[in-house]
Amino acid sequence: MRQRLAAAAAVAVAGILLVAAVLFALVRSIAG
Amino acid sequence: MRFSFRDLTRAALWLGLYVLLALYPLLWLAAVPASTGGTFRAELASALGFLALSTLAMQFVLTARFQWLAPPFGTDLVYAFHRHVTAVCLGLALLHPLVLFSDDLRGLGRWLLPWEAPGPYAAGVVSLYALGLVALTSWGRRRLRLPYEAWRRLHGAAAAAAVLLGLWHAARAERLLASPVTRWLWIAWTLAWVGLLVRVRVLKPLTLAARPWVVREVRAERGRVVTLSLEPQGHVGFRFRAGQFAWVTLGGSPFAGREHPFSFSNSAHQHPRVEVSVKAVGDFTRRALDTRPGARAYVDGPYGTMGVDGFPDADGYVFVAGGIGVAPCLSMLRTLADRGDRRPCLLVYGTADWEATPFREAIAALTERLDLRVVHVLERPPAAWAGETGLVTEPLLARHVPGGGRHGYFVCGPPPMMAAVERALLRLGVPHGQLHSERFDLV
Repeated sequence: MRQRLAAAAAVAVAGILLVAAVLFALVRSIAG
Repeated sequence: MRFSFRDLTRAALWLGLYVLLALYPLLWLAAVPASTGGTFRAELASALGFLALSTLAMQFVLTARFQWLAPPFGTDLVYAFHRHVTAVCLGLALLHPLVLFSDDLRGLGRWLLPWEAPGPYAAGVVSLYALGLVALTSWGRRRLRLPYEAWRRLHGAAAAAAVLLGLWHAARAERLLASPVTRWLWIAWTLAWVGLLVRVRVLKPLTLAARPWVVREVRAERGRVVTLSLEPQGHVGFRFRAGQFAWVTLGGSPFAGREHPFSFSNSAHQHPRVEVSVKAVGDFTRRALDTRPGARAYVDGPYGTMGVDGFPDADGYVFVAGGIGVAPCLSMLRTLADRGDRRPCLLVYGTADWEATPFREAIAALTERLDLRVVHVLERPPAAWAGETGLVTEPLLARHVPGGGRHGYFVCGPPPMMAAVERALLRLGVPHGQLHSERFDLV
């Protein structure tokens, strides 16, 4: 059970990082 | 599964800090003037590459053995998170070239052969392979029959190679790092994380070499288990809390990378003596059987957050152990006995058979000093056995685990048993915050 917490945290990290990457690319490509 | 508001807040804060650190290079690049004019695809590929490298570099902090990193969820969860984040790193690292070459996959296919790609790009390709090797050997170590010690050496070398080659690739190939200030800041930031490997593999062993331990006694226990009793040599050792563990090296050098995590099995009140109990199942543990009194040892500890001291206001304690997993439970019971604690304790102890049940005499002796009830569960009971048989199941736990009151529950044993017992206890209404377990066979 506790191990699932670690997996859920990693999935959350992956999601946030992907969104951040897309936002970064959007902002820079529009600014460029 | 129930989490308290406090648990969730701490988890969110911990995760928020981690994400912020992982995003820091990207935030920096977004904030400072850098070359512009990239398409959405090129910018996205760059961001994915930076994040892959950033999360990979931060993997080193998770295994740098910082005690402050373990709470609130335990050292084993930090390692489990490290293991799962490997998949995130690998995913980001794979997406980086896939996005970049999404209109020319054939071109990407050519570059997958490092000698076909120009220098800095070849470094990126080899970095990706090194990361793949790290992931494959970690997820499939047992299936690949890779000995733990060999795996550990390969893991450190391949992970460091993946970061350093990735760094070189980024510094040479990435147009966002064209400015020397940005490039050197990025390199320093990444190397700072990788430097933590030096802490574990160089600085820690140096400290350990100056603080050796000696094996005073080797006791053969039932079920191919030996207890090694260790004392510090020329220093005062350390105090541990019952339920904690240490990384133990037997003989040789602390630089050899032959250390393994073991829970203490003696009372926390026997300072400076520490005891670990080892079952002969692997390369290191078989060597433990051959250890003789007088042998040199190195003990890096204590680590871990599990233990009765983390739950001092409990009305009583319930321990569910399987096989050699009983060692930390024994340490907690012995510590409670030394303190004259009279709160009720229950030990549900699953083993294969009666003759191979480690510490059964020591546990029986503890029932004289504690308000302790022991339920032995035997997979292969002897003919006249009137007690519990089979595995530690939910109905079995329902028969014995006390209802009401605020108890501390500790689960220690093989991973499948621990998972089943944790599920069962939660279904029986044990609050998540009162359930404690740590596991160390993650690879």
